[in-house]
Amino acid sequence: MRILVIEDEKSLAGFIEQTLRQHGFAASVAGTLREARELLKMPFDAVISDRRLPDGDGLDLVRELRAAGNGVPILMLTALGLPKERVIGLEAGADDYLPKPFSLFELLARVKALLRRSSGPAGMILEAGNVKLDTLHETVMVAGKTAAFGKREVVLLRHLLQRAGQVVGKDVLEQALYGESKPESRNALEVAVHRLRKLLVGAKANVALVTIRGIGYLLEEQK
Amino acid sequence: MALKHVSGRLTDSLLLGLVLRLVLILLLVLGGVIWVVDRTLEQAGDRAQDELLRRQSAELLAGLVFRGGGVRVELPNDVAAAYFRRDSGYVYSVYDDKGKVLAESNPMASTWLSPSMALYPAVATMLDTRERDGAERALYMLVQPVDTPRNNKIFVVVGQYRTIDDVLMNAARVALMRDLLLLIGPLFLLAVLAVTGLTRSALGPLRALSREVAAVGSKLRMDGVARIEGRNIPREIRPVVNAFNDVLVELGRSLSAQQALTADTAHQLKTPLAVMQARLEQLADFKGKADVLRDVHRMDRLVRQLLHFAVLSQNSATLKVTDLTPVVREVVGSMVPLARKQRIELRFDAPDRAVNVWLDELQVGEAIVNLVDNAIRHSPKDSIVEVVVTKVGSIEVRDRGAGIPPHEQGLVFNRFWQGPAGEPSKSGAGTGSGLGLALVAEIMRQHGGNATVTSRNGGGSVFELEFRRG
Repeated sequence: MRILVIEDEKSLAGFIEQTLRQHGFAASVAGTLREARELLKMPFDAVISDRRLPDGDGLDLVRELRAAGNGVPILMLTALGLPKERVIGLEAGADDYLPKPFSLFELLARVKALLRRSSGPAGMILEAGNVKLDTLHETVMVAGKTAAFGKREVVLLRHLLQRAGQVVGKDVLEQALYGESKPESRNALEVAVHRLRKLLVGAKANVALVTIRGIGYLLEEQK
Repeated sequence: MALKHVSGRLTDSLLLGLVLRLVLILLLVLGGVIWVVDRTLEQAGDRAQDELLRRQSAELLAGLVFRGGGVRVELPNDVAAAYFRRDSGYVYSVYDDKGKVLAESNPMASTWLSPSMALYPAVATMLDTRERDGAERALYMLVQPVDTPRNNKIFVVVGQYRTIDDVLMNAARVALMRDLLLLIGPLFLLAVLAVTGLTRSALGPLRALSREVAAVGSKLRMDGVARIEGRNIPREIRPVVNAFNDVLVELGRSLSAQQALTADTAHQLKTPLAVMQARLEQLADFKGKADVLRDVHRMDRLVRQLLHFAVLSQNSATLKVTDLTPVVREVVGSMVPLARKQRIELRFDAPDRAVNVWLDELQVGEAIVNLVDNAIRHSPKDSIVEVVVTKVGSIEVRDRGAGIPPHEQGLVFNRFWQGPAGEPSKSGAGTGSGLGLALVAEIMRQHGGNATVTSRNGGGSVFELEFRRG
């Protein structure tokens, strides 16, 4: 996996490059937009870009890439991190944004999430703790053993794993399970979540399915 | 900064003012016409009366017979009969230049005609008792001097009371005027409508201009440039528009300079913080590492809030009627991981039905982040922070922290307020920038809403954000 880091602050670029390498990614660093354009003649799997660069705005590069039909996942690093800036960034075609300062672990997690999302329908392995889900074959492995999960539980688990560590709204999960048709009862989702939780506990998974009252559910690794 | 709008009374409307003035003119013209018509009709009545008197007088003169030194009145039968009819209203008398009555239509006639008996006019003279008796009951008289064959002067007086015919004539006049008014009423309404319509259409360019000007503020903030194009701007206000456009150019320039400064400052302050955090994370664990990382976060929050203040003072909120619930739910959901890290349970509750209020989604998101962040930092471990959207269009954030004493509750929204004075800092106290709640208050001010805090039964505080209902 090749990742391009566009950041003019050398020490920050260095830390990012080092972290990526430690986790098995190949990283290249560009300090200016001109260098970045040069490097982007080669294919990359993801781009991490600062906005304010010596020779221009990183968002302009994003717009150029999108206009040229390049769909490479892009994570923007923003200084202000105000909501308006985030919206402008996403509208320009960036896939995610991370306000400065950030934790290198979070940066890594976001890059992985971007790569997962972009790997498309070819199928991928989603994982959290000792739980793995093969999205192509819809099979679940817990602690190295195949677990027999129903179709509904797999759908639920897939959505929760995709956003592991974050809250997934009830409406999102209901939409995933029942589409536009009405669920059979008001607490249908609760029942389905309860069943999934029992299955996870039964298979000795080290993840917890937490209810966030009034909002939705969250899957997190247990320490 | 949202400036106060110019307020005004309803009567300050240009349209209303013009229409009222035009309607006033219309009323004056109509009133004038009615008055003239009425006067003309009345005068016609008077002239008819005069003519009748003249004919009566001529009839009488024709019937004067001078014999010897005396005079007698001999009238044709039908005319004489008219004088005898009780209700005819005709009288006459004849007197000489000494005031002696020579003849009269009935024994009371000379008494009724007495006002004329004092006159010895050289020419025919009209008079009446309208002033004394009113137009309806007045006696109208004509005094005609006549030379006798013996060169003496006698005076022939004829008089008429207003006959039934006259009264009917007057009633007809009144009826005519009433009909006229009935006709004029709808005509007047039509005229008022026409005047209003015409004035409205004449003021059309002004209204279009005012709509354009109203939108110019948000366009300036969004695009950095804005000007009034305004097609068909009336010549009278073109200088105003031109001056306004000049001001807009200046404003756009200083606004973009300010925004550039803010963005630069953000970049210059945030990048070293990012380097510091990355460097720390790469270092092996050492005693106090967590504290230094927390300091970096605190510094970050301060910079972020200061910058947000700067941005808030450049842009004001762009309000739209929006359902509060999904906005709050999303922000609260995004803060759950942070809360769980601090071992705080974050809960959310909202009514089933939409709660529509005027809000700027991004700004409100920022306000909720600040409030929830504040609540999490001041809550003891394993406690619950509840965020509730209420039916009346407000957000409540309830915590179980140390609470704020009532006398300080008015101060918490001031800048750099740092917790109750003179109290030892609790777990989370003292880690805030003192800007978060001030930011919340400023955001709510731009929403035309309110931010308040109250103490909670059983300990802790309730922060409430009230919005205007949409």
